[in-house]
Amino acid sequence: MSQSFSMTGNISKPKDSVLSGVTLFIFIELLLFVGLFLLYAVYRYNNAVAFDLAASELSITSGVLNTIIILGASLTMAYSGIAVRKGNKMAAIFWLLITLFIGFMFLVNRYFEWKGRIDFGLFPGSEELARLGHGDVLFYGLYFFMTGLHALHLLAGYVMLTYATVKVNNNELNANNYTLLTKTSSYWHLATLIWVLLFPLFYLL
Amino acid sequence: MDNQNIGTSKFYTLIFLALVLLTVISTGLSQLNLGYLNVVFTVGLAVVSGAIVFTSFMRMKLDGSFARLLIAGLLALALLVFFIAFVG
Repeated sequence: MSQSFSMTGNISKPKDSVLSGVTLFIFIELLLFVGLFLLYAVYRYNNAVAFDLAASELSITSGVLNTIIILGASLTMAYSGIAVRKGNKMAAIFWLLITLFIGFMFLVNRYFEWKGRIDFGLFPGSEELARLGHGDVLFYGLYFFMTGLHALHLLAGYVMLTYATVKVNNNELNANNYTLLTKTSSYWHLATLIWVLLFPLFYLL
Repeated sequence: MDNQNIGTSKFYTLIFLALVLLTVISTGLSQLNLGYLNVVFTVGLAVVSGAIVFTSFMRMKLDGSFARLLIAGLLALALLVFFIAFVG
């Protein structure tokens, strides 16, 4: 199954002009994060030392763990897509539930990571952070905003995935009609794509 | 949307393993003191990982001039981020 993302301008070839709403939405989402990456770049340029020091405070192990978790969720999401297309309802539901569980594990890990920062007083608006200086305020401001926005995307994906699971269970999503699952899957993978780009910015650089 | 290009379980498993490997390599390299090469490797591997997710998991096929324009725009912005933040 592929999503053809094309716009050649030739209306006599409708097959080449498939720009589905979800694809356009995905690009808009990517542009939103590109804007935030630019903001990160400008702030990092102005506060290089503070950003380096603040980034070293984050747990790389936790970041790597979350990366593997979210990649695993994409894998099981892909498995569920294969199962639906093969008409294997039980396998599809199994993989969708596993995906939901792995997604939940990502959010749990995110919670504990945030809690660790907050317990140290490192959150936007805290006195401790204000004492550390302007660079740290910017770093943690971006960290909480961007990882929080990503978590919100994951939550939205979670709702869509739950809806798709119910539809599969009710036989409304099956081997002959799986467009909704394809769109849900694309959105879910978008969360993975964003995380794959976010992780090195905050944890590795 | 067609049925001809469905990935197999094996294909997705291999993609997953490749992405995990890239993450481990990227993390390992970030622990070494390679100077400016640290940034080059980290950003480079992130872009490669992102491209793999985009084309393999999301199954986006980029074959139109408009799509190419969008990708070029995103890459230009990514380069802008890289140069502003790390080359300055």
